[in-house]
Amino acid sequence: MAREKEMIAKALKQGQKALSEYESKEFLKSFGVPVTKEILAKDLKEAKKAAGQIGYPVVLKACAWALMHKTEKNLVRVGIRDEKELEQAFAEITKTAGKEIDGVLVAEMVKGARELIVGLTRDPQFGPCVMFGLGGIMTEILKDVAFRVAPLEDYDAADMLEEIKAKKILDPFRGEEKANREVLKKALIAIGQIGLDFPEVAEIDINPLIIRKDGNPVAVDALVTLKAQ
Amino acid sequence: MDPIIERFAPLFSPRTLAVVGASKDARKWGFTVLRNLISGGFTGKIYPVNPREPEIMGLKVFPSLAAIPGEIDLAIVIVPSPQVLSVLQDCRQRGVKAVFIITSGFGETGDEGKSIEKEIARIAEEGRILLAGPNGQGLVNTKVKMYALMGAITPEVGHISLVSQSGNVGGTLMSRGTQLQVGFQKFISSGNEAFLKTEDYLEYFGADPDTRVILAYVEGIKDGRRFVEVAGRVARKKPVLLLKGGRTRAGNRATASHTGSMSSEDALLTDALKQAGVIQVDGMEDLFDLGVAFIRQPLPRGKRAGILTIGGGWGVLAADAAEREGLDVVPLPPGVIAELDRFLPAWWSRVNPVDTVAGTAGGMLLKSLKVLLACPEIDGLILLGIGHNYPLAKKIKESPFYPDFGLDKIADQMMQDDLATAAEIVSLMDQYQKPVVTSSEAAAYSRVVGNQALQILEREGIITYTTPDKAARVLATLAKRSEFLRKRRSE
Repeated sequence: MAREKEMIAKALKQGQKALSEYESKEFLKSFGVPVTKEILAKDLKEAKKAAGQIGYPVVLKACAWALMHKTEKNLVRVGIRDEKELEQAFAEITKTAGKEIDGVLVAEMVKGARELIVGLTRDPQFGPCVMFGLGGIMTEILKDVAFRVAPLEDYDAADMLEEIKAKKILDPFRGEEKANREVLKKALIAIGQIGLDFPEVAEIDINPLIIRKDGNPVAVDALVTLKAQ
Repeated sequence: MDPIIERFAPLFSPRTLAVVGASKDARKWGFTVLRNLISGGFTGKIYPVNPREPEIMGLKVFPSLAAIPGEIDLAIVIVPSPQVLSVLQDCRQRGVKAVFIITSGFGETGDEGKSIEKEIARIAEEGRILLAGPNGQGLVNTKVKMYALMGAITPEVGHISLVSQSGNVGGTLMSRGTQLQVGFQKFISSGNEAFLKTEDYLEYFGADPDTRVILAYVEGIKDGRRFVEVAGRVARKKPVLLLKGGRTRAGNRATASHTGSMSSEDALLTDALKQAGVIQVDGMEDLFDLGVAFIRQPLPRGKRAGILTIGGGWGVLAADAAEREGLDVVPLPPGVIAELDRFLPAWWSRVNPVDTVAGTAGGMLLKSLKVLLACPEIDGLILLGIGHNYPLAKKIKESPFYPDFGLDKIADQMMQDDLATAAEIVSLMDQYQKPVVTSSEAAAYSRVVGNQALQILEREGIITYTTPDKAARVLATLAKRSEFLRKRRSE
């Protein structure tokens, strides 16, 4: 945990109010939350190399802690099929984003029809609470989520998966495998534990967490917001 | 002794009880509470305290707490609000162990009241006084006949204990108990909870060997984390049912001025209660009806429900409700169908719900009940129509033709059938260790006709519900509790 503590301390020292997407995922990954394969590229050359390593198609996103709503700011390009498209996307993103970015995130393009949300919230009454539910663009409309007060036991995490109305999307779905519940449960338990161990983490938002065709969940976007202690 | 039991003994089982602010004026609460205590037959000693009266209702009155000889376990405080702090100081000096402040006019009135409440809590803390209230309607322990209440409500001794942030919700539940012959063990109207909170009472009820089911009415929770932690521990031992008031914005406005605490966000609370294993209900009626079921019903091993009815519509509605509530209305195994074929009329339903189509004649309801309870593929039963014949037989006996046409034999047989079935349900439940939840149209007017069949069940602690939906919800609640315990124990 020392490394993660250091990561947070460094961000706070630099005046960050959140971890960047890249940092957020690195942070979560170290607690066993599966995240997308991705590389932070400083320039076009690095981006091309990264895309080569990850394999096309890829996603490009501007990366900086202050960019908490990248899509609205037109800083995301998906489905980039080759180097030519990558060059264009890279140019567009860096132009729109301006100077204040850490780099451009080159990430695998995750295939999977099922989008979930996992989060950590701090309630004045209950303290750190974990949220799980239906993710993607419908999250706020359907509000199909379940909460648990941290720490979570295995049965708490299992209950959360059973509790949402859309629980059937965890079963085999349109030719895609059933979701890996063990990995999901472990992620939920880990998020709750982060809430207890890191008072400097204000909130966590993993949205979407996509279920791959083979059933394995992966955090496609993640945001860890911070508060100075 | 369990330290929790020991800590709460002066409050709930006092041997000596002072009523500070006792009055001779029958229009004052200081009179009413004392009257309720005396007429309830409190087994301990009562010391009315009033500096101006020598005697009230035949009891010697003491001018002050200091003038009372010996130990004082509990002081009920009913003085005007400006005097409460000084009375509390007196209690502290006198070494009073527990105090219940009935007086209102504190946190619920605004910031000034809130700061007085903080002072009340501080004195209690420093003086090691177990302090309940302020702004509570009182408390009950039926075991020692302590009815220290503003309302003249005297439940019988039972196994349910209740904590309520509203006195009148508490009174309503206990009155429903009186109507249905269901007793209570302990009750406390927790008021503004300046010191002792709902979760403290939950913890006590959890430890109390005389309490088997715990009910709570809650409007505001001050420390949610502690609440679910305590409730979670208690719910592993005993069923805890909770009704939350102020879940909507309109309801929330009403509570903000009511008990002086803000409600927490509803979705989070609902899930936190689920996590703790607390059974959240939607209304006062369910709080009582679902709670009572835990007293006598064995927990089902699973959620496979059998439905037995004497009439079609009730069975259909019960099946719908059972599915809705999460029960499985399982198909009947061929062996069960064959057994029922042996004595039911040829046109019986041959599916679950089992519709005997012939009423209860010839003991068919009881025979069918036995077959279904013996079936290993059924975990619990909904029995519809019990007590149905009793009022009909009574009508026959009152008719002008009675006892001609052999009506006497018919009426007697009908009554006998109902009484015999009712009398056997409980032993069958115990024998098979499966719940039998009863519901009948006869329950709707059982008081009017003095339905003895239903009374037999009531005496055993089994309520016959007036709708099939309610019976289904009760069975589903038992099944969910059983599942909760199974999951927690397998960890």
